[in-house]
Amino acid sequence: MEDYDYLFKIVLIGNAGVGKTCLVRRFTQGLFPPGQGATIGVDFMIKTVEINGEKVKLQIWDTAGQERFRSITQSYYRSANALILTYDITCEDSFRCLPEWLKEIEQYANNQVVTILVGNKIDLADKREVLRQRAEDFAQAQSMLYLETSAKESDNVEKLFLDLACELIREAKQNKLDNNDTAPMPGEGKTISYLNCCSLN
Amino acid sequence: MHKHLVTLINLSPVLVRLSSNGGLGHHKPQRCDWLRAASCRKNQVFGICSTSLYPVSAVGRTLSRVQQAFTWSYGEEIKPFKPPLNDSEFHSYLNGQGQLTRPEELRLRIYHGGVEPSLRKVPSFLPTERMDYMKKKTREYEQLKREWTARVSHEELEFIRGNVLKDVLRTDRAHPYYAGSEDSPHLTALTDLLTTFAITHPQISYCQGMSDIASPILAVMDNEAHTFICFCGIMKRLEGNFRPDGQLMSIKFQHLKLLVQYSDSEFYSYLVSRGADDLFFCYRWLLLELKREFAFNDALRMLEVTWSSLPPDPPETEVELLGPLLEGDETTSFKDESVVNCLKGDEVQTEKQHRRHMLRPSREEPDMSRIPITEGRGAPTVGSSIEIKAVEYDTSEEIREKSNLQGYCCQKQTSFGEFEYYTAQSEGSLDMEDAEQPQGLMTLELINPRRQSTADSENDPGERTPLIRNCDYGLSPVSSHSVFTSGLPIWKTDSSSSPTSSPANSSWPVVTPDFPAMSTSSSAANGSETPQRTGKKVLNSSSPGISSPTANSVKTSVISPSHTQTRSFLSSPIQSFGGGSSLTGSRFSANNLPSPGNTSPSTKPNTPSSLKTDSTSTKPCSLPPPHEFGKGNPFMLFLCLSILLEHRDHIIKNNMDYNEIAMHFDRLVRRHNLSRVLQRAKTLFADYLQSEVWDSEEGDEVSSDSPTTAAPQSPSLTISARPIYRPLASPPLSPNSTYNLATTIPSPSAEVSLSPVS
Repeated sequence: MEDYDYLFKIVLIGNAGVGKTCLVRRFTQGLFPPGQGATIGVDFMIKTVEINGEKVKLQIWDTAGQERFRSITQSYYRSANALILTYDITCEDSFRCLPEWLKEIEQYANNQVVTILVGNKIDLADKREVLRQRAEDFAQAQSMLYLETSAKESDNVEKLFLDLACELIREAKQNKLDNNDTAPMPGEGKTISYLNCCSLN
Repeated sequence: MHKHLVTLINLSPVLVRLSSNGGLGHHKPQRCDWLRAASCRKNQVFGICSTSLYPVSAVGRTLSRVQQAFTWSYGEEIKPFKPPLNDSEFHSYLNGQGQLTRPEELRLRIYHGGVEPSLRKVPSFLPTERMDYMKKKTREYEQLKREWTARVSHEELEFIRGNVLKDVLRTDRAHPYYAGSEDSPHLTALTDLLTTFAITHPQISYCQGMSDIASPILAVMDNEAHTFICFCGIMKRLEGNFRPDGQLMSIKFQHLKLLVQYSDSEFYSYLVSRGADDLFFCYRWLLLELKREFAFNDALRMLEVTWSSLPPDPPETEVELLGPLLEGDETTSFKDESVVNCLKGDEVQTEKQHRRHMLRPSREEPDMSRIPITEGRGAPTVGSSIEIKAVEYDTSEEIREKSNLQGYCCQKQTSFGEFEYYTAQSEGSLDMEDAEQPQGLMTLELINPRRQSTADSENDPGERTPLIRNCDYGLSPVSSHSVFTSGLPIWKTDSSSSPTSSPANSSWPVVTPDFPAMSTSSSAANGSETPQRTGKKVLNSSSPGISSPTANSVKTSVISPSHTQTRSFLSSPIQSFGGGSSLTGSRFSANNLPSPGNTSPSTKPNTPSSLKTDSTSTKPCSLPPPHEFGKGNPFMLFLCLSILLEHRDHIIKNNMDYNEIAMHFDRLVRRHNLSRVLQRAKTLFADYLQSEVWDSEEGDEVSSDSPTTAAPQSPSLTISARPIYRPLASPPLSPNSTYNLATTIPSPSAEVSLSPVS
């Protein structure tokens, strides 16, 4: 009855102040709202996009970056179809924390989650601290997609979410083929029960 | 002008005594939070713990005064909003010396209309004593600020400051005070004071959201040092919100949930049906006490109104600007080698980071070797082993250390698993809660004797003594007791990693010899009756006698002198031996008796068999008492409730799901209608206070203690004509003994409804 073909949950994670909320607002509202308070807990946004004639509803969960809120944000990982792991290209620290975040993902996300690494704030090119090549190498080593964005200039923001949606559709279809409809599939608006990530490996 | 401060500082408690979270101490100076921190009354010692020993008689007096205040203010109809208190009106509260003559009325006045902005600020001149104090504290602050690098490494300082700055630069920047250049001295001041706080309070450090709390204070005070002092005062009450174990937040969530459930069962059922009853979308509301939900100036008004309703909680002597040290820094806190050995190098590293509540970058370049593809999954197990190990080292000296450890463990688990250990029926551990330093479950188990009282009718007062000592750690009988009374809907737990419960369970026997008793009590919540609960069954069986003398005694005790007795008992475990078992027992029954089937207060109370109520089921309930409700700020819960009720029709009509509800409220950030929300909240709050619908451990206590207590209390029967119980709403009510007793009263029960005005 809902007007979409696919429903995906996307969770943004990454250090505080790297621009997660701005990415989401830019994408969902076309805004770049500076001076917005730090995200406390988790915020929700929804945007429906059309890809190849199919309506894709994206549920975007924008999480607080600080460690303090991890206990809350973690609870949202598990049902996520995709994670946008964000760092700030002008902030070396935010890049260095990526392993910690991957550990989080490993521990709390479902093991089929699609993860994309995003280096935000490319509008501040002169302050760049993390070279693109370095980030790409890192992403590749971790089997992550990689993209650099500017929420402020709206660079690659649409692309980020649309690419992700395409990837999720692809995976969903693949999943459907693989499982021959025996397993619930992400993206069909059903409740998806993933295997307990911690019981694996 | 100086009189303002003097008077506000010397405000004494009336109105707000009711919500005292441990503040059953009396005749304390009372003031707005704006000025809370500025108080210094050296000649008065109001220790957190000492309040618990406060003379019995004062409690009842205070409560009745409080009730008078609210009755007076509401009477038959809700008075319209008053305009903010202005300067000339303010002076009418002062005597010739500029001292406040009617502090409680002033508080009430502020509660009803707020104050004009010009009255918010600390005046620029003060009487000598106050001036000296402020100067002294200012110097103290300046000194602390100079000691940044002495307290932390340069690197750490940069890290903290960087985190603070990141948030300061996006805090209330739309407000003129913070607008403009990033070099603004106002922004620098906010950054500096938050940095100082983080450095001087290593156990809490800096957490996102603190800037939201400090920002309005600075904007009003326009003085960095004064703001810092006030901020320290406020954080004394709120720091638990920011602790990584999330326990205080858990309790607040539970309380809000109860309130919604209680006030509007239809809406609550709707939320349940949409899986939104966890109310997580209210997280920011609770964490920041709604500061961000209103436009800045509205938020100021909301804050002062809220603060005027707070219990007095002055510092013992003066505001403490320095927090406790992080005990045994870093790995040295793991004195037990075996515990340390449980942790791989990585985990120790992680643990450090967690303790700081901030994610710090690893030293190394991120590369494959740093990626714990497989090792991450071991973490919960490690956590469990730590917990269990910790149990074996039960010395009071190690308590805090273990609590750190536990905090880490809890955090390493997930989400709100620990929620399930709390019930909103938390009884008044009045002496404990001020500390607001949530502890790990295990630690609570370890050192809290009251849990024993759940099963054992005899309590050695000597054994209770440590409780008092442990006050400092905020160890609360509430929490530990409620661990075993999960008679409330269970919060979402993470089944994939829930070492929270299993280690706790497994450790019970280690912790205490009476584990079997506790375990049975726990299971009693799920239906099995146990021999240990005999005492409770006695209570239960007596409760059904609605019109029995026992019942009467219970009822009257709520407002009679005996009530104050039990209050003091509550607040002082030391004095409570012999009563502890019945107290906890009755609470137990209160927790477990309610069942959805018995919705009316006039319904014949459940027999003990109703204990079989599923602990996870949605069920009617009573509300915690004001001193417990909201953990120090009950009014805020009613503000939250009011906001929810403002939108409940819209939410239901549009059949909003969890995310839609969350988004709906996210869109309303800084846009809620303060007048409407305040009006409704005050009405609901007054209903709550007047109805005394909260858990009455006192009543239960008295009745279970001994039927004979009825006799000495007989004088209070005259008072009993007063309505003790009025249902806050039509929704199902739990037939605990308080309610049962209420039915003996000529029923005013339908008078007040919390139901939303649609």
